[in-house]
Amino acid sequence: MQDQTNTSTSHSIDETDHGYNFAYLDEQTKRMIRRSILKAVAIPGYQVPFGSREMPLPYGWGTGGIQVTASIIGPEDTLKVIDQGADDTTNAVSIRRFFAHTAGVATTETTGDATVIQTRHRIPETPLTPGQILVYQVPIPEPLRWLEPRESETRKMHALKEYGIMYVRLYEDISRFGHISTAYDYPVIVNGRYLMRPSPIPKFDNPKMDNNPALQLFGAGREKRIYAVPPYTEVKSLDFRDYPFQIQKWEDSCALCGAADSFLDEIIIDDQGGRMFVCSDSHYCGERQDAGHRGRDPSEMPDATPNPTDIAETA
Amino acid sequence: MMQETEIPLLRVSRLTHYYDYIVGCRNVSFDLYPGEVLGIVGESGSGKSTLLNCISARMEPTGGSVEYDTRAEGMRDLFGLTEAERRMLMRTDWGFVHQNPRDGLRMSVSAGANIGERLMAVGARVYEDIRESSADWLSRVEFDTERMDHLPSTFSGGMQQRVQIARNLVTGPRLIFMDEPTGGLDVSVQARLLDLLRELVDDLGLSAILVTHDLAVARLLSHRLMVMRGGEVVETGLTDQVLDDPQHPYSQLLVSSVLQA
Amino acid sequence: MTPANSGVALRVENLSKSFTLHAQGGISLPVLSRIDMAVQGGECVALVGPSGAGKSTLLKCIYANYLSDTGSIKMELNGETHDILNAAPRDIIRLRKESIGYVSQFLRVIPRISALEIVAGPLAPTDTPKDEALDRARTLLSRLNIPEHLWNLPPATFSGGEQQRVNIARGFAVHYPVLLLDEPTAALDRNNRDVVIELIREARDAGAALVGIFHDEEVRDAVADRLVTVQPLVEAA
Repeated sequence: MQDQTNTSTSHSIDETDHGYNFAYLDEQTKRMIRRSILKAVAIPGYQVPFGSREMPLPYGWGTGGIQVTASIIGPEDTLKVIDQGADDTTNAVSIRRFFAHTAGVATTETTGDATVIQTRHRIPETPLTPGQILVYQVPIPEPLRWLEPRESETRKMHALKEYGIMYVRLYEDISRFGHISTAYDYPVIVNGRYLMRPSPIPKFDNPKMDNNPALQLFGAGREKRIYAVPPYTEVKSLDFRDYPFQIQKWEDSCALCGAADSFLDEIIIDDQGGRMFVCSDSHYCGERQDAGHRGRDPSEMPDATPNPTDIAETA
Repeated sequence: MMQETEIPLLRVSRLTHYYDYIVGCRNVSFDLYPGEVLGIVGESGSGKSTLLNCISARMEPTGGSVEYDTRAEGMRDLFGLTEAERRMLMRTDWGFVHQNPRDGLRMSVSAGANIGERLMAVGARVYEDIRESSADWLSRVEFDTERMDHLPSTFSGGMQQRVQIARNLVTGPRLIFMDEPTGGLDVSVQARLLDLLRELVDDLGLSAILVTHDLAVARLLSHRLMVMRGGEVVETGLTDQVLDDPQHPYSQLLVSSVLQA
Repeated sequence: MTPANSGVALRVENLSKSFTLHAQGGISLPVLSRIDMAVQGGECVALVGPSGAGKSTLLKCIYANYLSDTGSIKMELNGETHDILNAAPRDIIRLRKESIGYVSQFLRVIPRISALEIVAGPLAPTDTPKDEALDRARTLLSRLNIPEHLWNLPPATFSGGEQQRVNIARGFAVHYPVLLLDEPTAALDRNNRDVVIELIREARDAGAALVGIFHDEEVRDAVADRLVTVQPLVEAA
């Protein structure tokens, strides 16, 4: 993929364990997965079955994403791994070390420096660029599964583009809460054809999927499915004409970097109910702080109550 | 009389279905005209459910044909349609009222959404309109719209059946299949529901095929009766004629074995 | 009243009817044999004959409630001939909606429907506006002395006589060109019997062709223009 020579990139070649094949998986498996990926790219949003392998970590920890990453990564690539937006959580650190260990690739926390970004539950705030690949870890790939337990039936529904049932879910949201309360894993139509589950990213990130210059790949290890959104592909979130799709908004900005345009996590800071909102994307936040941006002092803040929409959405 | 110029809505010809070598139904032919309600009666195992499943395209028969007067292209063989066309037909121009509402409803979504689903499936994308239609149909089946956001599992059997009926009618179908629609209900609820069905079928000019073993239900709802036995039709005619002056030995037996039809 | 009633005629020719009882070894009970009868519009014909002669059976054959074995039943209406015995069920249903009525003394109660709705019911498939239909129903119910407080109740709990009168009102709601009457006045008191006589006369004067069975000779004399005798057949040995 593309060469990266950035100072923030750590190239820990010494860690590499040469007892494994490059990137852990054997070459035949990687070929098989690449074939599935090619098919997925050719049919945007369509779930392609693949022979998911046992990985040295349990299902639910990103085995699908890891297999996709292992199949596409090359020695020249630079890998970034995030978990809920953060580079420094256990899952992110483990997966980053896994590839450093088995493939000897360079790793980074800088979004712009990465050629491959494996993510759990977020899309980085920094806009992606052509040539980058975003690999999502997907727990349940089938968006219709919540109402239709039969795989044979959901496949037929995809084949015949029978997606009315998905609106039933949005209907129920509105009739129960007065607005579409689905906040994560918000269903989308890819390229005007396939209904897709964007893995549990917040709907805040849905607009970023649309027409993105990066290639987006989705891997579900337990469910043995791969799907993709090729660069510059239309991704449309479902909605009603009188209840259009909306992303979450906060009254506050990030307490650390002052960003008003990023996805915020709520952090409880004491036993008295004190809390603050900070960027979920740790790299984005750090970069802004390095550039001198600061959040307001929490003591100066008005009562940090998110707007009512948010209460329902994060519930 | 005008029957020569009329086109049937549904034409069943020599319909036969075998389960391996066991007869489900054999050589059944009839025409159903717009506005007509056909009752199919017979005891358990007589083949009436097999017949219903075949003509409602839920099962492909081993022989014979079922043609339907589609809105777009006139008479078409059901099993010559693509699966997409057939499924579209089933959820727009047709309805199917199951004996057990659980088979016809999504128990995990509200009554309103159950009805709205058929509209959303054909492209309705304005929430308020969908909700209004749902409420309208719920009130037409005499269902308290206050409860439209509740789950069907919190309703009585009679109420569930009303929701199922509303769900079927919301797309303005022309043909309704009913499989013992009042079968699981107690007598007083059954009477009210029958009355409602009778009214709706009359008002909307629906065609219907009703499978029942209850001759009183058949008399109240259907214009015409078909008596089945061993997979074959043994007698057919005007409902009150078949019930009051049955010709076939089996029909006579059937009519004489109930208390009062 | 209804111009459609002019030019109606009912013709029964060579009609035979028997019942085959399969439960009893397939024995055949002949009931009617070679009946001929013609009724014109504006005429009321009374069927006479001993009990069991098949008078009711004849009416039911005409109404297509019973199948006939041989012969023909034809109804001429506005220049069109309807062949009752060979008509498709849906044609019979269409005829029953507007052209041929049948009044018996027994009301088949439809659960939950008020007396008023039951009487107005037959007008629903005709082009009669709803309020007009209800007006007609109210008129009939009050002429037949059904107390007004009962009109909005389902007749299931009414007395036998009240149910019978509701049924008569229902039978006269539509101005059928052909009306069949199976002992409509049985067990009615004098007062109500006279109302039924009036109703029959009005229908006849409006041009309907009526065929009836009236055991009450007073009623028969009051309404019948002509008698047709139905002879009992010899029991099948």
